[in-house]
Amino acid sequence: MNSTLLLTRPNHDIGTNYLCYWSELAVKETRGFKILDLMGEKANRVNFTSYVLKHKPAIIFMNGHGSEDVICGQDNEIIVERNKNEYLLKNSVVYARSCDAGKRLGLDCVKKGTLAFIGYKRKYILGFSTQYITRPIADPVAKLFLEPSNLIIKSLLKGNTVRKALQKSKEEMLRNIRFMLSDSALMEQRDAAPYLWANINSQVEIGDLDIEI
Amino acid sequence: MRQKRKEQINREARDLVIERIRASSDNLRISIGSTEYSKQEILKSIKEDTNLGKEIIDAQLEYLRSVASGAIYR
Repeated sequence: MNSTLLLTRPNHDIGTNYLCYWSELAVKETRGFKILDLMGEKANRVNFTSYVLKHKPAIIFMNGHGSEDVICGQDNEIIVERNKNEYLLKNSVVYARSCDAGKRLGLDCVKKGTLAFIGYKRKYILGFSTQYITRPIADPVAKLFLEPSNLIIKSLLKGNTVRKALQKSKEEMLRNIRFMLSDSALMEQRDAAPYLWANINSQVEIGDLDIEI
Repeated sequence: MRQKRKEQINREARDLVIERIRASSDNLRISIGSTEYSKQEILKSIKEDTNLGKEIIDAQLEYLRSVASGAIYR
């Protein structure tokens, strides 16, 4: 399988800005993979289509808003749409850090040839601290949400199966939840625990989980 | 009778969530979809019974049930 990862990371509002900064950390150690980075304005449908067709990435890591039928890029431009162009995700392992896309779009993608699709069947919730909006990487609340989520991509780049990558990510989320319940947690970290728990429960994985890239 | 009891439980659950949010940190915000919400905005959405309010109630209750059942510690 070709060693290319395609990353989309729009940054047009606070939520996407957090995802944008944190996704860069997920692909920092490339482990021999070529990283194609569609950041900000570059995260649009034309670029996405062209990059996928040209490079046939083994992993597609999408950040941005979504629904049961679409995943969006910069300024909420639809990049992937159910019954329109989900064939673009064929033969790739996809992680969509977007709301709701795991519910219907993910299923259809796998039916049409996506090897595995990881997403969320409900809203993806991100907790963050008002004191760190201009420094997303230093945000002690967002860290608890985005570090374990990044671990999915980090583990795939290391050559783990999809199943193993998900297991590692889930274990870290559970560790974070237990930390949030402890006396060592900041008040805002503790209060964010229900939302991290909601993400754990809404994460779905569809397709061949034993695939290794 | 059963319907009445269900409505009462729902009202109590909603009140519990409102109190939890009220007591939570002013520094915490959440991003859902393309919008960010402060504590006051979350409280308003629960009181006005919006879709966001329903999602917040579901998330909070699911969490409390999991803490009570020990699912979080497994």
